[in-house]
Amino acid sequence: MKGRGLHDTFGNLPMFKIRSTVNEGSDCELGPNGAGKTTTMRLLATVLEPTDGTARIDGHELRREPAAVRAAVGVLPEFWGLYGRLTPREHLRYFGRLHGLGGRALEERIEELIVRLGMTEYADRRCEPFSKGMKQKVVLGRALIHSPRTLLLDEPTAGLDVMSARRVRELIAEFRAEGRCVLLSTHLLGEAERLCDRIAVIDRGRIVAEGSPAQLVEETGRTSLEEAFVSLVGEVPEEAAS
Amino acid sequence: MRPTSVVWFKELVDTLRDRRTLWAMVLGPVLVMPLLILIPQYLVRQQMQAQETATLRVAVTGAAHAPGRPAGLAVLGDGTKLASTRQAARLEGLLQAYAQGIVAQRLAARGVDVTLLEPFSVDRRNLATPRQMGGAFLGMMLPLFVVLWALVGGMYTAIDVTAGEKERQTLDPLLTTPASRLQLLLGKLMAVITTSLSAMVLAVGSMLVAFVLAEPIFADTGTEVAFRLSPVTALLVLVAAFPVVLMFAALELAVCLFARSFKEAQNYIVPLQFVVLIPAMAVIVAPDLTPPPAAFAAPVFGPLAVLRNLFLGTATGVQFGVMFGSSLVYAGLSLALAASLFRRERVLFRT
Repeated sequence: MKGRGLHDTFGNLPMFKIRSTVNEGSDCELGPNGAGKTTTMRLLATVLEPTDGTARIDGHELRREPAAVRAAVGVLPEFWGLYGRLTPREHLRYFGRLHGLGGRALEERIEELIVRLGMTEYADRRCEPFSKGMKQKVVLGRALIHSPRTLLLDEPTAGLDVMSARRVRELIAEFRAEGRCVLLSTHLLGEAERLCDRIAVIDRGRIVAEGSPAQLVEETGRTSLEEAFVSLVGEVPEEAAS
Repeated sequence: MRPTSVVWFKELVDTLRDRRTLWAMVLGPVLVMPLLILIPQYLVRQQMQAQETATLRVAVTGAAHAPGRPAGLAVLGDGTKLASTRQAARLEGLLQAYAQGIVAQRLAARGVDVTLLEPFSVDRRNLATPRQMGGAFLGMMLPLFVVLWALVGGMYTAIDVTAGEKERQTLDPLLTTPASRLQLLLGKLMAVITTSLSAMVLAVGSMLVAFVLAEPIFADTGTEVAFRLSPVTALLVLVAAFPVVLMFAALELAVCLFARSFKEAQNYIVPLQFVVLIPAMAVIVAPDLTPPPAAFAAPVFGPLAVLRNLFLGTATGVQFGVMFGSSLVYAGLSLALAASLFRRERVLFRT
């Protein structure tokens, strides 16, 4: 996944530019609230259209081949919206079909994901009363249904309890081991340090630093990733934090 | 399955599991509409029968002035009360009959033939058959409900597949699938059309059944009617209504795309009912109105007028063609608007 001058404008103000390359393994966008992490994810997932610049994912150019890009990525968005009147199995079937899967192959894939993500007990219950952890598994399954090589995970452990968050981190490690490209956004330093090969620190729509956790610490002359992050980001203005 | 069909099928399943939509689409038309017809007709008949057979209690003042010179009788009633007006009319009728009896006696006493007072008799006959009478009644009532259900039947589905997606935060995931925005929109449109058409057919069908059941009640009130709809007319009604259904479905989607929540969408969409009610009044209050062919191109009014003429059996090919063609154009414009809005980030992600 390569981004080149990816640029979006809010009003007349250019908010950020991304120049970055993500290969197999997991990379991380790290930044405070309002830095532009989710916007970057949405641009790469073609939910938003960039005003300038481009990106290439799995060999497909973002602005010229948006459908092909969407077929190549699996997205776990910031908000885990589900259709309350559908079951997890129906969710996976719906999104699987939208990704062009069908028949026996789709049903087998659905069953595989249900088992892998631990949804067997409630796979055929309607989603409306689900807990956060249960919803998160459905959403993750939705992102994986078409076996994408590239995953965009926007704050995947936000709001989860310890056990659920741990399971998600294990899954991300599995994705890496499977040779997938994972772009993860988070504002949790420990998670970034544990999961990511490289980190891009985003602040006010711009990448202010990029490298492995150790490189960031060394380049900033700090003793920990947290201190390196604080020195890179500095004071967070109120409007960016909101 | 193509993305449009996938979305259509899923939205239909989701819709049928929603109690609100089931009420609006199925239970409402099937249960409420017949009751709206049968109950008032039944009550009117009961009231009329009671008033015709009830003993009239009449208070008389000034009896000392009768008989002799022609006496002026004033029948006093309360115009605000229907029962009083009916009873007064009934008393008037009885008094007229009594007066004629007295005249006949007086003339006979003087050797005059009473038929001299009546140079000719007038007998009013209705040339319209009971079926035609039924058609006239249907032509007055049903067009409004056909068009109204075309709007209302799919309303909740339209809200759910647009503003509902935003409220549930399921729009982003949907937009990350390979399906194009147009494919997604067409799938949602098909779902709205399906629920609209279903609600319309159920509503009008149940009303027709209710009218047929009400025929004896009509007869008891003095009106011989037969509510019958030929298969050809029924098919033409559906064909005439289809572009209206399509236009309303696209308009509802376009309007609801602006909304951020279900409640906000309801506030935007409910006023659309006036778009139907105002031209419908023109068709109802002026049943003999024969507009020029060009008038059948007017949105909403054209379909209402053609539907009325279909029930009356007076619709022409020109009227139908003008209405159908223009309605398809309006439907196309509405769809283009909805498709344009569905591509705009400022509309989809409005905060």
